[in-house]
Amino acid sequence: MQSAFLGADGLQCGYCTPGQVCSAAGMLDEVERGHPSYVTEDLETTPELTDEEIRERMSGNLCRCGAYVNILAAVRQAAATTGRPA
Amino acid sequence: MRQMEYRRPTDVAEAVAVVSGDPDAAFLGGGSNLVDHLRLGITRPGALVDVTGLPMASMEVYDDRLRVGANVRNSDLAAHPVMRSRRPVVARALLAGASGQIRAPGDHLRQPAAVHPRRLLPGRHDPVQQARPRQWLLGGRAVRPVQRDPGRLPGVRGGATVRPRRGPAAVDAVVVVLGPGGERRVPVVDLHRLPGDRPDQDTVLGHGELITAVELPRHEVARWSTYLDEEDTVATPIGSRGIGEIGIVGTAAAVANATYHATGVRVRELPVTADRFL
Repeated sequence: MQSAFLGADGLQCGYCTPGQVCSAAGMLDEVERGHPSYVTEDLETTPELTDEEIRERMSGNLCRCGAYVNILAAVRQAAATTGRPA
Repeated sequence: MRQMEYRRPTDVAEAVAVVSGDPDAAFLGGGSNLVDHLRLGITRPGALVDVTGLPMASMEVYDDRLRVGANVRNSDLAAHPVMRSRRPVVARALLAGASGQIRAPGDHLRQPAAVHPRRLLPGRHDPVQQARPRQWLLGGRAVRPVQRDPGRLPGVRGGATVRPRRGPAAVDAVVVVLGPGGERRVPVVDLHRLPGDRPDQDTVLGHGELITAVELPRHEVARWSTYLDEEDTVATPIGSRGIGEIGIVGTAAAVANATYHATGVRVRELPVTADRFL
């Protein structure tokens, strides 16, 4: 996850980055265990890791530099690299 | 600084026995309510009994009810297959209540207490505020059953339509309480009390009584209901929500600094009223 943030340029000032990385790791773990989110359409299915799901699940962490687009890319990349559901 | 004893029992009965036997002891959960009360001087316990390590984090499924332990986390409750299939209204409300980063450590029982008016405005009890503790809040927001066409809502099949009743009435939840006299059950609608002549008491629970679980009885309407994220115009007339509590912390300090600058008198307690400068 850390390399994915570096690779995707998922930060500017870096202040929020440790929290973003921890949240992203925890959030992917929840997805792997099938936890639904606010934007999961059907509670009785296993949620897929769409961009909308990533945004919602990362919504508790704010980035004042506004690096969200690249944070999204970093999480997507890390999820793909570790073979998590995408 | 006031000294406090801290205890972390591993047994539920022991925790109840400790607090029951010491009029000066208090249960400590996540602390969002108690710590505020400590800061405001509303409560000054001599001993804190931490209940977060007690074995109350299981969820049990019976034929006629679901029993959710008091230490079950919001994330785990919302993700539980039985909640998702049989109580989507609860799962949806939890998922709407906060970000995942807050749901993961948040427990479903103690968050409701954190919105009690005693914490918001000590000493002020207007009718609007009095209405609040009557709501059962899941993850910080009121739950109400589906009122409109439920067939069009995500994740909801079927067509039950019910009147909007607030809170626990939506799922008829019952709180399981363990006290020095044994176990008793309190319908969650009856748990919170109006301030009246005892504004220091949030609930009907006696000293040493500990909520160990919430039970959700069989409920066919709840099975087909979901949660609507709507403006709540009853709790506050303009539908406002408490989102600025952390951001406003600096304001009091800034005002206090300004009064010091203007008068040369340093006031170190809130509220910063005129009599403190004399």
